[in-house]
Amino acid sequence: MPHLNPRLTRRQTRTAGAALAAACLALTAACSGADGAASGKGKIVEDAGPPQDGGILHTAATADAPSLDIQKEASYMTHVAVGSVYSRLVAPKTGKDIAYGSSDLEGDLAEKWSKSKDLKTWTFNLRQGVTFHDKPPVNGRELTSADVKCTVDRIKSLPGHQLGLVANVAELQTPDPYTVVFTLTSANTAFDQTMANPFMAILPCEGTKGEFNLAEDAIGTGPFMLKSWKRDQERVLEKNPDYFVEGLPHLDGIQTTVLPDAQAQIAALRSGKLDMISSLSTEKRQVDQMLKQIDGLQLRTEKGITQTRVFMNAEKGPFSKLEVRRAVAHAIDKEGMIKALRSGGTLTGPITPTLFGAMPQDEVDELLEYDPEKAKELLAEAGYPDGFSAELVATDGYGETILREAQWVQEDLAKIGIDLTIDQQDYATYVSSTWPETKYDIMYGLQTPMLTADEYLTSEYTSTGTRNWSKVNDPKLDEMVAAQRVLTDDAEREKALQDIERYIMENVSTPLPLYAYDTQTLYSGKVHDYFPHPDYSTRELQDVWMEQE
Amino acid sequence: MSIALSGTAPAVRRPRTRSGLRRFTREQPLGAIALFLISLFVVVAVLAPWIAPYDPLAQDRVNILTGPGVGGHPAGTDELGRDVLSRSLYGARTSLLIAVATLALGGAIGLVVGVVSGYFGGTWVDSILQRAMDALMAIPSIVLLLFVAALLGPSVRNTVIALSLLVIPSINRVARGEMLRIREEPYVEAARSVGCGTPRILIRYGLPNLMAPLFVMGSLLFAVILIAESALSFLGIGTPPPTPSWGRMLSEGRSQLEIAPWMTVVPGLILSISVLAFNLLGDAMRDFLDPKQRR
Repeated sequence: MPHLNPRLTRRQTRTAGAALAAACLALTAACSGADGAASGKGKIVEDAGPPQDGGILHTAATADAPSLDIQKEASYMTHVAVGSVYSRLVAPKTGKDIAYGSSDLEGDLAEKWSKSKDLKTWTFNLRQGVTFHDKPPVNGRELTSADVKCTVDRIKSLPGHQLGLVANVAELQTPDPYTVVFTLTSANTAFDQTMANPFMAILPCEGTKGEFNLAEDAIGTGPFMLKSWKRDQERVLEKNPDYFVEGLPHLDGIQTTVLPDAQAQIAALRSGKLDMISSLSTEKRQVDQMLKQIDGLQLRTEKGITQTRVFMNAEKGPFSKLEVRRAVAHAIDKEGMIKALRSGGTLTGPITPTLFGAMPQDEVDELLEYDPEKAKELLAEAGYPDGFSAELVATDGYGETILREAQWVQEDLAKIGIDLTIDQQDYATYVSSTWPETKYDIMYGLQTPMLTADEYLTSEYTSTGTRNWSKVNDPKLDEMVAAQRVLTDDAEREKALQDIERYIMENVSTPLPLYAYDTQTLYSGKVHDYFPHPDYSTRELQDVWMEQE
Repeated sequence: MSIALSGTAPAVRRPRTRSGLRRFTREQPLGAIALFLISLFVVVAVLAPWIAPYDPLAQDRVNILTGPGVGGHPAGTDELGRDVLSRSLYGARTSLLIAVATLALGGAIGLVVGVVSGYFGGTWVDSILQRAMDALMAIPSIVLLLFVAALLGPSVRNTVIALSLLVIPSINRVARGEMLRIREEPYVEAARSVGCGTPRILIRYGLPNLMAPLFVMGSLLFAVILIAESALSFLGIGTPPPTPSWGRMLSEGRSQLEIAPWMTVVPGLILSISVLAFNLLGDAMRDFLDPKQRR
């Protein structure tokens, strides 16, 4: 955010802000939605000096993890909860000079890694002397290549979408305790990206063998150790004193309170009980208001990567007709929605705009064009000239904004004759039953960001996809997705990916992506060096430090 | 056989005429004001589609979160551009519907249980029924409400079911107490002596004589239901979106309290006034119907 009043001293800015806030309170009607950006508030302090050790970071979550099993559980809430407890072989780089969402990798447990010429053999050399957290039954023993094997074997044995990540691993060899060799069934140019996926957290063999319950405890090699977890109340992480990266983490611990209510989170941030809130649903107007009121508050806005989605059942019900699904795509005023309900966002195809393989923006805009007349025609073509009624499923687990957006969708579809009633479900039902078991006709919600184009396409849009929860079944699409995976030429592959996306938008249209919304994280002035990554693994918290009094 | 008897029963038909209303106004001026406000509330609720300036669900997307008076919205708009005044007026409709349905359902059950229990006061029938009611009353009402509403899921029907559980024990207690008194009255004894069956005694002599305190109770409960419904909707387990409900409007407005106070103030004010009116009416009716306070 640009600092527009560079010549004002901090106190002057504060006074100006206070005066503006007071004026606002007096004339609420007149300056509704006044922009806080103009006052230069919310600027991130970048030169706070050398990092200081110590302090507990207090943060909040809108919903708790359904379980702590980082591989069995589909919910990103689990990654947020225990991502920093584990390490992966490789991980995305984060830092001051790294762009948000960058796919640059750095070694995590692996010191270095290499691929064979035919792209079928990948070798990872592990760091030596990495120890697990000193908790029974693992008791701080050293991590070896056997743990990697245990983990990959476990993922292969699990039902669910994670399997898609390691499906083409034919064999995993461990020639010595510090070397892991993957042999793939088909060439993969980006297998290291796969290993950087947050699902690829390396577990101790004790965990995979069931010596402790992975759903309720987490023992890894990451910067933080899980001290306690009270379901739906709080999670306490403490510093791993034996972390393999010298000098990290800076924080003594992280305390996360489960506060489903955004207003409660804001109140807690105001009163200093929280140091950071990552807002899933805070609106721009409200953020502006807070920046004016809370001194030194830092705001981090990142270009969106989380997609809002309309999920439609392609197998049965009125939405099984392609024309109806395409009518929905054109009936929703996405730009209006972003403007009214979000702090910003970008229309998106099946692959998020920030990823390799995403369609050019003007094409996305065209394919998702708001055109109620066209929508009506498509609906008539499908045999519903007078529309029909259906139930729209949504959950309050993502925050209030999603429910508002669901009402926006409801109103837009009502305009073309689709009469929806909203079925508001709790998050647990939604995420563990309604969604994966396709118990809906139409549903509005979010999709946890994936990290590669291939992951989006394979898991959600192929007939055998592990997250094909809209019941897509299109043999031609299956073929196209399989074909792009073996292309090694970047330009060729990019074109293939874009063709697939176009095909999906025109011939599948479910799950229908609408836009990726910008995310905002608010944190107190004493928190520094927070460089988040969209993968939700929270590994970046190892670099965060707090000013000590 | 009952022709002569029904004439002797003192409270079976007390004529309710205009003069009764006039006396009420004279003796209970506050109650009269409350009665006026409640009539207004009912009229608004019934006539909402004709009174409200806009469709409560229509999203005026040019005017999102605009203040009172802007863009032709007398009380401003909410975050989806819906007219706050229209939603508040329709909210009265939702509240009235839920309150009447709840009182009808909960009142009917409570009344039957109470009357039967009272008539058989002291017997095992009474004990069983009243212990069941005790159990219901022992659970804090808000906990009970949350439990039932969360279990059944958000919908108007389920809200009515949940709220009925709040109403049943109260109505039951009052009905039982009255019935205990009534069954000792000479006219009930007389009815019994000429051979009237239990159902006939309960319906013909019991019910009409215990209605007065029930009206008082009903008015007070009405206020409780309004608040409880709003509380449930506020917590997101009452009336589902986008149905306008005061509780939900308050909850939606809360996040915008500092930038769009009208979203909260308007439904909040109407809710407060309605609840106050029902409470005042209940108090006034109690005083008015209490013979001891009469000169």
